[in-house]
Amino acid sequence: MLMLLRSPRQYFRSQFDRILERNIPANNSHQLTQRKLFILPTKTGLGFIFATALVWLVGTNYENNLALAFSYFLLALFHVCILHTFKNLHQGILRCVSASPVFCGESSEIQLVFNPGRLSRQSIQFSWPDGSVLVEDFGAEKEKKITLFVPTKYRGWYKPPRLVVETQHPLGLWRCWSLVDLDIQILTYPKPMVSGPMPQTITNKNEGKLHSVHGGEDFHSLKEYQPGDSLKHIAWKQYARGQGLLTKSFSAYVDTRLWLDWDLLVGLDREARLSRLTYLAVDAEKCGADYGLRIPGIEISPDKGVNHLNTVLKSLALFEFELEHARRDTQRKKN
Amino acid sequence: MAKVEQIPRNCFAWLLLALIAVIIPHGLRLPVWESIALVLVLTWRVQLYRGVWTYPNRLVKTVLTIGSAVGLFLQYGTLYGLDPMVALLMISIMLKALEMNKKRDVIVVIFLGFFTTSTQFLFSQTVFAFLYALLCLALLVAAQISLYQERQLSEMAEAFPMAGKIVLQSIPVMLILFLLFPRVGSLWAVPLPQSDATTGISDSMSPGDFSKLSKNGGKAFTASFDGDIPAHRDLYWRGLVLSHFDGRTWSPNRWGSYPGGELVDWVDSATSKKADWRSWAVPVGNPVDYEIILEPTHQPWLFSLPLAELNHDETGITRNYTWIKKGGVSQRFRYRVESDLSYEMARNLPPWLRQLELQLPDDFNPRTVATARQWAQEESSTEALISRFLNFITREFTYTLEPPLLGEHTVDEFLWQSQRGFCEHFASSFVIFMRAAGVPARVVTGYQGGEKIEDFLQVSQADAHAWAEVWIRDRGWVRVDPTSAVAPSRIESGIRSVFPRSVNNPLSMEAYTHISLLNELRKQIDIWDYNWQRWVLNYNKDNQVGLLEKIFGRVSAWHAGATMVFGVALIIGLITAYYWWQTRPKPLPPGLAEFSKFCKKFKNSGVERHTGEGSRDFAKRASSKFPQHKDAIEEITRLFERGVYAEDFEALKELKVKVKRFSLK
Repeated sequence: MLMLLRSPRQYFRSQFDRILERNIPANNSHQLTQRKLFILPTKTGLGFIFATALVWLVGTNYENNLALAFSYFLLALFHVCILHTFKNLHQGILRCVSASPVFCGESSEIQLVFNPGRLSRQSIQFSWPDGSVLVEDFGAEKEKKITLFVPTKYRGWYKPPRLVVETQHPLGLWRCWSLVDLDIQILTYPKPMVSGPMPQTITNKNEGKLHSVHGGEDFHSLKEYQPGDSLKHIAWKQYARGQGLLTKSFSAYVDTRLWLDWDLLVGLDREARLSRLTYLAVDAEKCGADYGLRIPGIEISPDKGVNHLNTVLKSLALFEFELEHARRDTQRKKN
Repeated sequence: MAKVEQIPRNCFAWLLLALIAVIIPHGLRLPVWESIALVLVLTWRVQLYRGVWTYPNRLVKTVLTIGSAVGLFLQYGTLYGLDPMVALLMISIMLKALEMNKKRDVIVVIFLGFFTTSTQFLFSQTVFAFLYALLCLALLVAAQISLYQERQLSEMAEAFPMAGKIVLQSIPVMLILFLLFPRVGSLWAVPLPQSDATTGISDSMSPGDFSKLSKNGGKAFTASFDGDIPAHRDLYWRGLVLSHFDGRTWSPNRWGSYPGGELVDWVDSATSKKADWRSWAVPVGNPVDYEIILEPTHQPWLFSLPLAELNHDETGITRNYTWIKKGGVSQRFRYRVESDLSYEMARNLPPWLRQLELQLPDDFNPRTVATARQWAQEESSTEALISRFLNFITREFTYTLEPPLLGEHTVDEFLWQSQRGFCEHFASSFVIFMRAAGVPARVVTGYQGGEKIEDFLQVSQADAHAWAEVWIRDRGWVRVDPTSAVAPSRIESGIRSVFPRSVNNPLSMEAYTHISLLNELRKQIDIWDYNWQRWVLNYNKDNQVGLLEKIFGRVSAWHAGATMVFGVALIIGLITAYYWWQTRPKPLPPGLAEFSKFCKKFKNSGVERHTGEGSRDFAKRASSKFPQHKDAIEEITRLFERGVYAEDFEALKELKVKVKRFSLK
């Protein structure tokens, strides 16, 4: 009732969604049976009816049987087309083969297979709302692979909207379509966000390279004073000897293996941290460095290579993604 | 422009073909300048298609549009009228075709094409016109199909089988709609086709007119009689009466008014009132009922056997007892006639009319006038005078299609010098002779005879004829045909018996009557055309009611509607069934069928076979879920594998039995 009060359009929309849920539940493969297909005249179809009506007016006003017969011919054509448009989709089998993982906001490449069954089919259009569009013909009994791209909107297991399979063949008077839920889950990595270099992690073990670092414990060398150096570190002894103003520099063993550490990105929220970690992981892989990942509950030890990167990215993608989805849902409902 | 919006090249090719097909039948009717303009625009379109020329800019388009509208207005004097409207339609379809560069434009052109195709029927309703329109329709449909096909030009043929399929499947649906769709008749008055090019008998008669008609040939009308067809010599189809002679040409009396009533008594089927003067002609009792389908003449007169009664609105009878139609016959016109071949008119001719029917121009044909006066004194009665004249021409005269040209005194030259002529010469000279002798007489034009084909009579322009009517006291107007005195066989059995090859127009099938194959073909075409007219073009509300009565015994709108919907649904259902049969799933090979039956028994049990799951994997899962059936499951799986993979028929048989017995309960 509340829905109805909001707007009839929304009410019908939700009713239609309910029919879709019932008739076309999520499944990896769908045979397009009559329950799953919808058919309505197109704008062209309505124009055709208008033209037919004009011809009929000529026929009836001139009491001209042939013009009348011609208008009935057009009307018959209109009716016969329902059948041809419908049968162009009817009983085709659509199956999802794969969906490539992508960074959020990019388009995932989706591989589908359409099996036309025993009829050849023409001009079937596959499309995703705001995704790519593909029009294909199919010979009888000839399965064909279809590649489509669909943009992702949020990270985690992204569920794209229903795929639109439609045809207006043969005359464009009718549009037969189905909104198919192929139960596709796209592994969507967080959107990479450029950030500064990862703060390096200090380790107590004697491994790694020696690096001059503020806060190191062991004296390393002296260097010329520069304004801004801490007064505590000025080598007063050398100054007294008249060697000029020098600063003592200290060093520590620094872990050269990069740790992409959740805790080091202080002051950022979950998504911002994930985005930065994603960027750093990709960047580190590009540079050829070893890198590990530390996020709450998950530690992946440093390594490199494509498989490693994928593991890291997948962990980032799926980290508390249900929470994020829930948050988005409540936000959407509020709007 | 997005690719989806572009017009595929195969579609262009079909559309060009369709446009040419749609334009041709109208092209011959359009003003010459417009036909040339259409060809130029078409050429432009082709060059555009080939990428040689560019699209017209806005200025050119505006100039073309306004220019052609003004041109049409100057040509026709008005834009309201069928011909200017069709001409305008042709121009708009071509200009739209010229500027189209989007799919939507193509759709508009195709729909205009449908409409234009239907207007062909306003000018011609023959079988061929209909078949030609179907061709246009198929081409337009092919264009529309290819619009959504995205093919190369070389693959354009792909659209045609589909177009043919749809068009053929539409035919039965169309037939049902044609038979049962409610007929509402004319909703508002519409302009009818006008033509300056009248055909058939004109409203005047000069020497040479009728021989020209006879040579041209062409169908005039068909007549189908309720009973037997009367004898050939009685088939005088009266068209119009010519009473005024100016020395060369006969024309009808131009009466402004007629003392004692209206000039024309129009039929009013609502009141069925008749003018008093119509009862002056008394039938003697030789009635014939028949129906005439008159080809368009663009002239008002209707043809009928003597003393005709029509009961058709928009028709009327003149004081000469000939019939006319309001607005002229611009389309095939069908009317029923009741005639009485013999009748009497006992009244006297009023003096003023007598004077008109005795009219002769001064100083013409002095020798004829003198002879007529002399013979009138010598003969005792009008009848005797007539037979003397007829005897005179029987002896000396020749009936010919190639009469010599005549000078100023046409009748003098004909009667006393050339003595060779066609029907108009005989009729004209006879009437002038009679008038000079003081006997009221007039020329009647129309057709004589006709060719019997099957059970109907086909009357051709070659049968055009002129004869005379003479006023005889107490008998009224009596028909006298001087031609029958010269060439009796013309009247007894038709013009072809005298001149077997009278028609010399190479475009007329009647010119080839001497080639028996072509003659048979001509007759066959006439039969088709006649039946077409009878069953298709004449199908109307009454026939529709009759048809429904035949099916149901009684008729209501509900019956008609239900039958129509049921009929259409039935046909579409049949086509659907055909496709369903084509797409039915192939039966599984033996073994697989049984095993899938077996798997189905696990439905809703928690272990359903996944797509692509091997039989053993499934058996393992099923056994672990239902350990009590473990043996049976394993047995069936083993039999299935033996039967299918080792092609063991015994195993297959056993499998069938086992699967049948298997139950989870």
